[in-house]
Amino acid sequence: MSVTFISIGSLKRFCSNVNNCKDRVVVEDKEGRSLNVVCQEIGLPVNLISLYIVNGKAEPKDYILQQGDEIKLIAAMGGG
Amino acid sequence: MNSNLSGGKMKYGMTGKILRVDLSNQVHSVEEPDEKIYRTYFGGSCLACYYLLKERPAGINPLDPENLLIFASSPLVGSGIPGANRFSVAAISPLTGCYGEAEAGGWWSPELKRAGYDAILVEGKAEKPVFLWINDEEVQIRDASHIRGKDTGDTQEIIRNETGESRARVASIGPGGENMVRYACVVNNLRHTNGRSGMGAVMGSKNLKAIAVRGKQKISFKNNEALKKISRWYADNFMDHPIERIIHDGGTIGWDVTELDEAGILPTRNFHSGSFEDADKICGETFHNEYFVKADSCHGCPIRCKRVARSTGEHQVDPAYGGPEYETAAAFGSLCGISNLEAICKAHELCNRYTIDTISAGSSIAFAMECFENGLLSIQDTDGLELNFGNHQAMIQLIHKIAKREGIGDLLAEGTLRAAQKIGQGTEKFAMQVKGQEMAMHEPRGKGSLALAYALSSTGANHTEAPHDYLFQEGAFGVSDLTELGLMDPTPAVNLGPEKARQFAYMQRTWNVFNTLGLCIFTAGPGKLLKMSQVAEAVQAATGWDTNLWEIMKLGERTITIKRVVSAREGVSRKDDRLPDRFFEPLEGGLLKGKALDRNEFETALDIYYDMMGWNRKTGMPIPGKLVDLGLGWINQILDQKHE
Repeated sequence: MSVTFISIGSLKRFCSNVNNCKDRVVVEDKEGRSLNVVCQEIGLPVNLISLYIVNGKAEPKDYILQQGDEIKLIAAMGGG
Repeated sequence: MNSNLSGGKMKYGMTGKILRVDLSNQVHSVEEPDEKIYRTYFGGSCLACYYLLKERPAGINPLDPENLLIFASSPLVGSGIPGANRFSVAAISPLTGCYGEAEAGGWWSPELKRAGYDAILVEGKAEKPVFLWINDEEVQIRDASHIRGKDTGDTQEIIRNETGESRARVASIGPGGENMVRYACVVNNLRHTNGRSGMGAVMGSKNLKAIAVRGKQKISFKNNEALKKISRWYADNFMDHPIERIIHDGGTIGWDVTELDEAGILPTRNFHSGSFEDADKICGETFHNEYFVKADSCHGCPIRCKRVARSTGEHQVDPAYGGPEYETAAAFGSLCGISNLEAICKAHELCNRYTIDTISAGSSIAFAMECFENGLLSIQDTDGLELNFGNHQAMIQLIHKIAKREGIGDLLAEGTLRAAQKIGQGTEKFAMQVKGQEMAMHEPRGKGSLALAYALSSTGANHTEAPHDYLFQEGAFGVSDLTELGLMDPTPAVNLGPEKARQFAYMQRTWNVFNTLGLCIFTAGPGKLLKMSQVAEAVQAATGWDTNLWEIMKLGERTITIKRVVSAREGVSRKDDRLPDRFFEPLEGGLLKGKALDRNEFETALDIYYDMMGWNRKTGMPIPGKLVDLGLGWINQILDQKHE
């Protein structure tokens, strides 16, 4: 009964303190709760996340988590 | 507070002196514009447009001696404000035929001011190659015949030896500029590039090999304590600002490749797809593991976003020329289907040696690859090169050929639009350009504001026209910076509705004013540490003017508008504010697979923008009242425009 958060690229350094995992955080019993609330609870930098990709599909931050979800977290992307 | 604008010579922030160089007659002179001219146009690109409009008629050939080439610094440059080290090079562009401009950082711009000048106006054409040597206000036009054909590294070394100044700052062209590759750039200190619009070709057309400067004078600022306070505050806080930290730690190559790929907006195989299967091989992490030597900086900037690359492998990458930015990694990487990062680092080095723009060069090569794969260029046409996507050896060979205008390189040196017109057979649809300038490495199908930036920029497709969309979606980091601009509602990145048009129009003023103030988009503005109100405070401290956020934002609008007038005078109109058809077709791969821009939505957004900016919907020319509003009423007279 777990969901997995994977931080991508430059976001990794901001997630390294979460559960002592470098770029992958697995959490239990979070099904039925919204994406950004859970991210906040476990200490992920929600204000830096501009895109949540859940099982290969972009989802809004209030997406309700389901068992086995794999969520890629993408930082704000710039230009220049 | 009074206006403290007494008229007369500029006192603070700028030297008050403009150097005019007539290469045809080998003479120079110095002008001291009234302070009101500085207060209206400030510096950089806005000042450059003032001179282009005032002194040149419409319709000149960009590569004829009549073109006016302008190097312009700005009031904040040298003040110690982080990122305030840039300058504009401007002229009518040989790539687009309309307004051309490119900015660079480094040390050249502060050095020019310390040498006693705010800007250089270069007229005419020298009979033989020359370089300009400016040493503490003393100006010499020196013979450069013996440097002709040299790359930037040799050029810099020879000039420093000849002038006896090992610390001379040299902005030069290599063979790409001399051969007038239409997207040739200007490179200073081997690593800092006025990349776009073909300004290096204009230098080449004038037989101007380089401008070397050395200055030891102090630049006078009104309130040094206030400037130091802002700079110290910045230095104390930038590591805690997540975006500044990302740029500091990884440079632009470490910021974008992986993220854009996952988001489905990494330009791949000439914009067919938004995802590259080998993105991990060309990303920042791989770069830092395999080719990174050290971080590098521009004058007075703690961010140190520049990267230096080295390789002793197959391609032998020389660290003297720095390392690839994100744009370069994507242009020679995913856009060409190339996953060999060492070859990309080499391509970067070659472009800095030869002085050709990495974005337009990569895009021209991707265009040729698509033509080749569709049978529209044969192996005979390509001098025997198998120009398939992914062929990194061919990519390296093409860079040499483009810079030297050899074989197929001569065709690709013209840019994608002209190359497609020569090849014919419907290849125009493979030319990913606007107004003749190639798209940068950002996908407009995933960024609504960027779609407008590409279409509306006066210089052709330009990715540094306005801050990009993802930072300003609901809940994203940059949203809190919108309110000081009067923007209350964040909009989704892919949105292209009326609110996005408004957001773009306001945000465009911030990055455009930076090109007039000599400020870097990575240190200031929405989403970055230094807020726009602090930029206004810095200008006040530098100049002593009673300026504020309102005037700075109005200056941004003035800069956009005067650039538009220069381009509109050359014939640019609504019909040119377009995007390639490919962007109205579905993306073929990546997270946004199937996503296409909607033509009606796009045209409506243009209408709203035109109305907001006071541009005539049909002609695209700013209306007379708008020019008066911006203190540019004199332009109505030269355009013979009347109030109706």
